[in-house]
Amino acid sequence: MRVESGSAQERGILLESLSTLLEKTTASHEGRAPGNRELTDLLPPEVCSLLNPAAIYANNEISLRDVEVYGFDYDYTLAQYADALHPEIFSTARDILIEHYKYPEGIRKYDYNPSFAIRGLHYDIQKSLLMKIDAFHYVQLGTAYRGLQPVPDEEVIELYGGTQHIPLYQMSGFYGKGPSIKQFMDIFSLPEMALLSCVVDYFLGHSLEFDQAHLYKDVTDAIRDVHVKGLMYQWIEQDMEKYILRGDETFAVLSRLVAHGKQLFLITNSPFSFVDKGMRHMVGPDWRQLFDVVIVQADKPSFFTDRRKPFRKLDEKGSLQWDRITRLEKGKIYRQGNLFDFLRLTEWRGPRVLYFGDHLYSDLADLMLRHGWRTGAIIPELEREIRIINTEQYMHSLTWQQALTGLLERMQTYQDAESRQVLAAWMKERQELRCITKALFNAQFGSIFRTFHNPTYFSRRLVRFSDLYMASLSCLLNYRVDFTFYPRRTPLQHEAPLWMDQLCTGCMKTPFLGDMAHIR
Amino acid sequence: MTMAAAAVVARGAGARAATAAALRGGCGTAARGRPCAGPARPLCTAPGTAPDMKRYLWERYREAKRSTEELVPSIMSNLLNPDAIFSNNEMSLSDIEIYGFDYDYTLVFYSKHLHTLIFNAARDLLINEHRYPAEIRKYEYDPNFAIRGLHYDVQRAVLMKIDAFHYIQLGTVYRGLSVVPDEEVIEMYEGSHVPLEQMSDFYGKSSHGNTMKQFMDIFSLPEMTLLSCVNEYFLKNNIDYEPVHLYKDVKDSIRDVHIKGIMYRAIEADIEKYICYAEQTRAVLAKLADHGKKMFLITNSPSSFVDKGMSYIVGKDWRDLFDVVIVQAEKPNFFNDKRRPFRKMNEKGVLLWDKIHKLQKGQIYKQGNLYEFLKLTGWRGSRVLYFGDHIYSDLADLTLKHGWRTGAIIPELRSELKIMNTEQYIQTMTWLQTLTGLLEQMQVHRDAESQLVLQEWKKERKEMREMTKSFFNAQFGSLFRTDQNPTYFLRRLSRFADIYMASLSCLLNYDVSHTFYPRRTPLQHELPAWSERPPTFGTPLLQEAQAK
Repeated sequence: MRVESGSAQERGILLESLSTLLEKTTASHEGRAPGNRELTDLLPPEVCSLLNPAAIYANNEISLRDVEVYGFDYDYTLAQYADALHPEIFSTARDILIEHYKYPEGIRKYDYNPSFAIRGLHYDIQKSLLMKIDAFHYVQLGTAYRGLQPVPDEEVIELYGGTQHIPLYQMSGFYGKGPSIKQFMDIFSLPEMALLSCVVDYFLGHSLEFDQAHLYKDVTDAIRDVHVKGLMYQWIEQDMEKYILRGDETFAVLSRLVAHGKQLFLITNSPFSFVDKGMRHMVGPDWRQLFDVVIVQADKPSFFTDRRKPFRKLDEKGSLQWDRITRLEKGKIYRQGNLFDFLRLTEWRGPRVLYFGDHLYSDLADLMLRHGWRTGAIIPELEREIRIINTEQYMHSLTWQQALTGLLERMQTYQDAESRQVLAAWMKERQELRCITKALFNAQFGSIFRTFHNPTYFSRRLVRFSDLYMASLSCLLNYRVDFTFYPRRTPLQHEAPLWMDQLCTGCMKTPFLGDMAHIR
Repeated sequence: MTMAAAAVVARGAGARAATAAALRGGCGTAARGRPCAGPARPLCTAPGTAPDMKRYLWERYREAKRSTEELVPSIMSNLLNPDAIFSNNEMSLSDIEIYGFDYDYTLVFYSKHLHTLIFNAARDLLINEHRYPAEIRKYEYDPNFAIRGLHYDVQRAVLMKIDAFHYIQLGTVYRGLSVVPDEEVIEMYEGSHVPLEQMSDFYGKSSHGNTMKQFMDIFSLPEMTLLSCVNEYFLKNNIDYEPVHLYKDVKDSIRDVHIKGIMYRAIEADIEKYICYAEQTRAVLAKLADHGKKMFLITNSPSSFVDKGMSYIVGKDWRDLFDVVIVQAEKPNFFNDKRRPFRKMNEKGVLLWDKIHKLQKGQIYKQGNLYEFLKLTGWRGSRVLYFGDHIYSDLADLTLKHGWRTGAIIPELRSELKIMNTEQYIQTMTWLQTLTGLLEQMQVHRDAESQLVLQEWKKERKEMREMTKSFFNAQFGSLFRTDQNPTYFLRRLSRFADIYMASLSCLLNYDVSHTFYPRRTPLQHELPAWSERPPTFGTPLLQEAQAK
């Protein structure tokens, strides 16, 4: 529609929007934060409060009253590790690359940068690209890195057949392992991604020719060696205080559940001696009295799907016994096994079990999809991301970004030359706002949960595979053992959003910082 | 913004503040615009004694209800437009050079008479060819029984609605025409979750041991109804039967209505009765052609049938609009199987022997495959927008494997939006959400009196959920929602369609360079959007459409 032929009312609307834009542009030019003062008025007073990083968020309605059995993973679930662990893994794997795999001595100059990567990224092995992919399999432009260098948007689009889209057959599959694209889902993968990028950076920077698949495999093997050779276990065991955080809170969670008559079990891929030392540190020598079943070296996720692996009993010294297992006893330690025998021997049924883990695929996917268990995801990044979401800068940027997007959608019908100039300026501002909000989380890759607009692939899996998610297990201490979680109803694209805005029922159902003052 | 609208918004703003105050128990006051960080405000303490607690809770309830009721006029002034296009992914039509279309329920829109025809013909086939009891002739097609997207457990002969997390919505499980009690459902499925191994596969079919089949086709509405009627007859008359066999017979009968040409002949014999909105489709195609867009047609229907329909909709020279016409494509195999060659048809539908080196305007081709299609046309997926009504056959492969932009035609959207625009629905839904928030907050009060009050609120919540469900369909509710979660159908729709609309004619409301901006839907740990001024930002509203 041409503005010349538009009605007076429509021209008035456009002029009003133009004047609003001019005010905001002027404010920006005068050096104030974009829309800072004006946007304050956009935030309704006293309606919304801040989110609580120690809250539990629900994707599905679930009442803890119905949960009789609580299950736990160990690494990054019962045991919360300090960030100090990652540089150790990085440095050791880097040294293994140099000393065992004969990689150039020059890569020793790289130190671990904890601010480089985020969890959930995808890696295209053949193209040596580390990137963030959204729920619709689109690469988020501006988040593709070869080594430590960003890859220009045009090059990314050309690499993937003229689009940002990754075809299904190339994507990481059910467990995050694709033929050519792998997803890094493990918290332990943060140093792995960093090391991979540093090594690629070195080879590219020095114009050294290399086979991408071989390099990837060598780095993966070096990281794996840190685990398999027991190096990581040794560091942690030698300095529990340094590496294991909030052990007292884990103890409080477990003892509270037991006090309320809940049954507990532990399924971990870690070896017994390591778990035993960690649990003694957090709980005490008699930690196994809290658990009805303890399973170590479980080989998740095979534990959940492969029926052929039998349980074996370990004695106190970690030696395997030859007994045939006819029941799973309290205080005993079992190795390997499989879920089908587990269910048969315990007679626990899915809806009554709530299992917590940090790895969406290894820990939660099969339980949710195939067995109907209730699941809880431990997402340590949640704490930091919520603090960012709670900042005034983020709220203002996001609010204005959304208002501007709405304005763009409505005003795009005005297509005369002057209007197009205005709209182009708005689009430029919108793009700048998006980069600002992205950088608040991570300069290279942004939030683990969001691309500019769409949820990430990681988020989609999180929403799909977990009934509840939280930053750490200790968040459970904020809720009664019979609490019911009501997820906020998120509107579909063809449903009215106004109810959320005007009712703010979403806010009311969100645990507010102010209302939960007693929380740590 | 008009003064009247401003007044409405102002009133809404006041009501919103009142709602917040009521729900928060009036605890403390933050300065305008200042985030509630810093020293924690004292928690509001509820009265300690039982009778006071009861009065306290009901007072909160009444305050919340009053505040919620005050919101309704404001919401009613911003209704959704049933002719709008909704987007899941941001997309600009200016990037689209080529428009592709399915035929059935996309280019051509069929009237309700067609479902009755299919139901009756399949029922008669069951009696005449499969020797089913003649008494099933007493069943007539009920267009209000089933909805699309339902799952059918072939082994257990139950039809049900499943949500995005594979949970069965209790109260929507039907054996025949009768509802199955919740306790029986929970017993059958050991809870209400359906394991992945039993779920329908990528294309919604029951195969490889899966026992669930999903009905995704609009044509499947009479199929589901016939299935339920026949099951009902066998159950009511205590006839012992194998549900798998019954399912196969019904499916074969419905298929025969298509394969034997019964449906095609009926439509061709009375085109005006069965094909609706022809002028709108013609207008869409003409508009796109005027703007220099290329167009193609890929349909599973046969050539003569499509030719008659398109001649009715557009005219004898309809093929001049299309750069490529492909019939009997056998989607979704067309998108996956590289071994199927294109064959050219002549005007009379006879297959020619030519090897196809290019796809020519005005010609008709049969079968073929997407890889050959892309090679012969040179088109790139990101420049193509393809429209279809079947999320699996039409859109899934294009989205997942080829990165095409996709548009879903969802006729049910129009009726559901009209329901969602009614005052009764808005009142019930707003109160339902407020009550849910109240329940979550007030559950911390554990004394006996409080628990009695909360139980009463839960009962009311359950009743309201039943009510909102029956607004859409008495048996199965909305196509898009269970009580809380999106349906499995909607999850697929969100994943496989960049944009969706009630009919192709919705495109007439948008410029060919329009950009669709999906509204940002917050995750559970994100704050909901509150961009309120003006409240119409980003929403396809009815008022604006009427103003045009």
